[in-house]
Amino acid sequence: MPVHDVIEIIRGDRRALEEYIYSIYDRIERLEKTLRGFITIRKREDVLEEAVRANMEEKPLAGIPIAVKDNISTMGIRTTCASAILENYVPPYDATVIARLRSAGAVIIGKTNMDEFAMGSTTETSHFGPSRNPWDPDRVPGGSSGGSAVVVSSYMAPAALGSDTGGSVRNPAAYTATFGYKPTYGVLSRYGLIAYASSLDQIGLITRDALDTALLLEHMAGEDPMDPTSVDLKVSGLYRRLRDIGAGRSHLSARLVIVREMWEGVEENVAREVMRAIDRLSSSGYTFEETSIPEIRYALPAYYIIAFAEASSNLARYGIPIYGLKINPENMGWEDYYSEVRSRGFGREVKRRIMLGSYILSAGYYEQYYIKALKVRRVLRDRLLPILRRGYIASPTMPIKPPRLGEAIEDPLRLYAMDIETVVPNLIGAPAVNIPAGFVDSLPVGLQLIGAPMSDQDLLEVSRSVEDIIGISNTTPKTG
Amino acid sequence: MERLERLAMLRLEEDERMTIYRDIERILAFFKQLDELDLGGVEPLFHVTEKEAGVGDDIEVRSMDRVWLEASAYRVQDGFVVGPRTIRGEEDSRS
Repeated sequence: MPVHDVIEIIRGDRRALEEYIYSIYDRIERLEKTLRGFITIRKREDVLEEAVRANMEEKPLAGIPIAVKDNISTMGIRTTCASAILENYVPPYDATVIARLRSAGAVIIGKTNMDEFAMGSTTETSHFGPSRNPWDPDRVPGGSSGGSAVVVSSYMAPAALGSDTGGSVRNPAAYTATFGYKPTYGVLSRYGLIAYASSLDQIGLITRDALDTALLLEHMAGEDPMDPTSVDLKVSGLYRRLRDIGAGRSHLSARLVIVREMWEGVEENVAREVMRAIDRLSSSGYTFEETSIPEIRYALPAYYIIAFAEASSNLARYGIPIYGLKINPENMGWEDYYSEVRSRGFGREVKRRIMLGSYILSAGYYEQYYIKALKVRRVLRDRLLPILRRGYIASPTMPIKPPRLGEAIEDPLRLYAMDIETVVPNLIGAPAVNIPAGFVDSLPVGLQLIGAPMSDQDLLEVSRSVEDIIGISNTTPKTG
Repeated sequence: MERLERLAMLRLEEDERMTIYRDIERILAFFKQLDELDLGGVEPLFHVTEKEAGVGDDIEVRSMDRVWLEASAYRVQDGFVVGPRTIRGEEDSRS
């Protein structure tokens, strides 16, 4: 059941709230052993106590439980980034988005599994082992916010926070038939988000539908003095506006843009299913335009160069003895200790990315790789912004169906290629969503819509209309 | 690879070193695609935000509780986090 429906039932009704929390924990008990969506699950009694208090105090979110990706700092709840290096780290403060959600009456139910430091697209690089897809437990749920998508898809939480550096919210949303939203860069404060690649990172939401995202966004957005890159997006009244769209009410009609290069290399049956969904929009009054942006073929290498460079710098801090990895520093020099902590604490994918980032930023290669990638970023922004002012770019969210466990992880280039559709919005700071679009071989596939920076409200309104026309949001997976 | 390990402050096991070395070569070849583009006259775009970083107001805020900060440390002594030695002892410098 979506958040907006749950709130109507539990508001001011302690018994209904208790029954709801109990039902959530029953599902966790039944499904978590197989799906492994969480790294940390809070005790039911603690969650219940907080939820009842929020409900009694008539807070707007009425004690609704929310799951949080394990790279978003939660005071008093360990935050591991799915890494051995932070296995015992308990943050001394809340991320701004967490503080805002808590003060609106949401309760953190647990921390979700992810790729280590958000570096991956399948949740298989987690130190705690992979999550599994509720639609087929032999397959990955996508990543890096895989755990968040798993718990929402399988009703172990009604909504979850994720983070999206190159698609990490939209990818698992596509693979689990959930709604995934990456805001315009800066709409949600990054204060307390453990950094991977700061110029690309953005906190996002995984929910059952666009309406829930609008509801939660109203309580999370807004400028934050702790994050100088945060921006003030006016979101008040957004939820109310979305409620008036779809479900027999009015529909929007917008222009969708098909960029030919974004359909190259997409698995044939995935492309066909997403195009079928687009055809339905066409019969409902949406208009289309086809265009070509050849430079988009260079988005993926440019993205990975920038991400690795920023990662090697951001992750340089891990090595000092305050993050919880218990290695005795007393008989070692700094350099030995620092290298020992990092070598034991980081997994292979993280090491690979740090090493590549160090290489890219080193003298002699900085211009050749890093600066060149930043130039491509500008070219892409200059080419895309005029198009995004005319309409929303529509593409499949993922180029392939969810791989089986172990299928993509062994070859890094194959793993990186999964992000080919999703990196573009991060490079230019634009908002983007995944909307469930259909099924191929009983596995979910998603439609990605990209909007112009700061057009998040319009993008969410269109999403609400699109999901109503396509009509498969809120479906229940096999294991549910 | 040794230089990279030093730069990244990582020490790899032999088999891990071989695998990562092979991967790095392939990934760098993939990055080389960007050479196909003519980027003359294009300025690099470091950041998408156009916001100028301003100076914040002086506001008194509560700092973090020391107990929390110390909780994740390996060992705390007299209110300080114990770290590795900064100056090498006599024995170390002889070896």
